[in-house]
Amino acid sequence: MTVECAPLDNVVRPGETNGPSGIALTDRRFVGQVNLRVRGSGLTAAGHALGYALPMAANTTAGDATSRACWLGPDEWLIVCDDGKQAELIQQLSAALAIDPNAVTDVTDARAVLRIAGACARPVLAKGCTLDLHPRVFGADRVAQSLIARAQVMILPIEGGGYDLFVARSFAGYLWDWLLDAGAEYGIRVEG
Amino acid sequence: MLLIPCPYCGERAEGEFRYGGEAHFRRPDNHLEATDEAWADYLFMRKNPKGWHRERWMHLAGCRRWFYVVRHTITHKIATAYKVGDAHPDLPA
Repeated sequence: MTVECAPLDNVVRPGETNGPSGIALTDRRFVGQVNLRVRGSGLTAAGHALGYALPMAANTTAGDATSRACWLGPDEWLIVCDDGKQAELIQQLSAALAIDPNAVTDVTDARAVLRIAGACARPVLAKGCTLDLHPRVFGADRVAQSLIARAQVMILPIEGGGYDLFVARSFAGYLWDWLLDAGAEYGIRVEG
Repeated sequence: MLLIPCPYCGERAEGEFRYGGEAHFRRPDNHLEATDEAWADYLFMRKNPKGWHRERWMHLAGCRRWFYVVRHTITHKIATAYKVGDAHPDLPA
């Protein structure tokens, strides 16, 4: 007797779950991303252009749902916005920073954004990340750059207990597979 | 696994960092007239102490900044970390 088994029969497809309880994993195609390098007097000018002050404390964010500045380094931020808004943002920042040394770069295509949500999202990430992502230390205004399963990621908490993982696009497939594997015991539902 | 205190991000696991060797050695000032001995000293000769060592580290998977660490090469104890441009702290006794 021939047993038919196609190579991808065991792969989780959109709307399906690979285990009991359910964590939602989403490919957030796409998220606008602008890298901003500025220091000194340019900080105030950038704040005016954005409508909020750049976060100066390490690993914190400022802004709102439409535009959020994430601290990447002492003179570097990643501004996350809705896809399509980055051109306008770059124009505003470049105009405001005309006289200050700066670099404003559209890096939207550099990173994929994977969203892992649900009550068990944190234990899944804990399998591959050394950071404490509990809300008491990693609250809504925090951001972190670290390693998940040896892949370099920027981790941004989302409302309702989940995380957006910004990962270099060439690592996205690997991280996606790793999350499906690490989350199998909790059950992962692929959305989108 | 070392827990390295990045002066910007705080304590992070060693895997996020890259080691940059001994800190604070200086390239010969007048490179056209520097002797072979001065170049050899600059390029190859390191202190390699048993004890406290000032060294460079870079937070590669985090803020990607270079900084300095005072680490004991036997015990791996880290006394302090400081930013580029900061005054050099004294080595522990």
